[in-house]
Amino acid sequence: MSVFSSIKGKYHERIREKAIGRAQTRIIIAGKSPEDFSEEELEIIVKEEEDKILGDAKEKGLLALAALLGLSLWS
Amino acid sequence: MIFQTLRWTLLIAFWRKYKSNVIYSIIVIITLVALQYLHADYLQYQQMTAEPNEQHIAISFAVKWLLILGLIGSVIWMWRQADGETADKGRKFVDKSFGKGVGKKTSVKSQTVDKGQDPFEKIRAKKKLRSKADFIVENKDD
Repeated sequence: MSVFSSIKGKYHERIREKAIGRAQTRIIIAGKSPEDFSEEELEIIVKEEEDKILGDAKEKGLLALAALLGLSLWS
Repeated sequence: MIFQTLRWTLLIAFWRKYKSNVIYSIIVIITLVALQYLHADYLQYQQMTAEPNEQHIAISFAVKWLLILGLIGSVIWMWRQADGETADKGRKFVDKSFGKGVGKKTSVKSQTVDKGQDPFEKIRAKKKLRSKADFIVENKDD
């Protein structure tokens, strides 16, 4: 069970890192720096990016499932 | 028509991104198949001889499996190399676009070093993040 929980933890850690990276990019593109924001504001931005990443992953998973079931987009 | 274009776009994008991986995988598969055929031929040859040399057969099996393991190891190494290259490319792109140090990935080790400097430090440690709505609900006075 600890193996599964460690994999789950690593998965969440990776998503969080990716979300932080995206949040940093977003802040820089807006011409600001992360230090300009309060902790709460940063949390909201990262949360939004994290939700986007999870949503994308779910969408891709559904597409892969559809492809596996033979629901081809090509025909 | 649009599906044809989409299909070709996806195929070209896939090829451009994974070209080296695809070529390497094909080479590995061909090598594995050739190895199996060569070994089968060698075993057949040993059977045809009047007195098959058991020691040579055992060595041939050991060599075969060593080569297979070597190939698997090289595939894993290749994947790791490809991952590193992609990460480096991404980092260089971010450095070039937004200045040095921005795209740098902070590892768990560097988190402790940068403590107090990184504004995302506390966010990393949090198990669950709160949305704007959560903050509004929390801060709402009764």
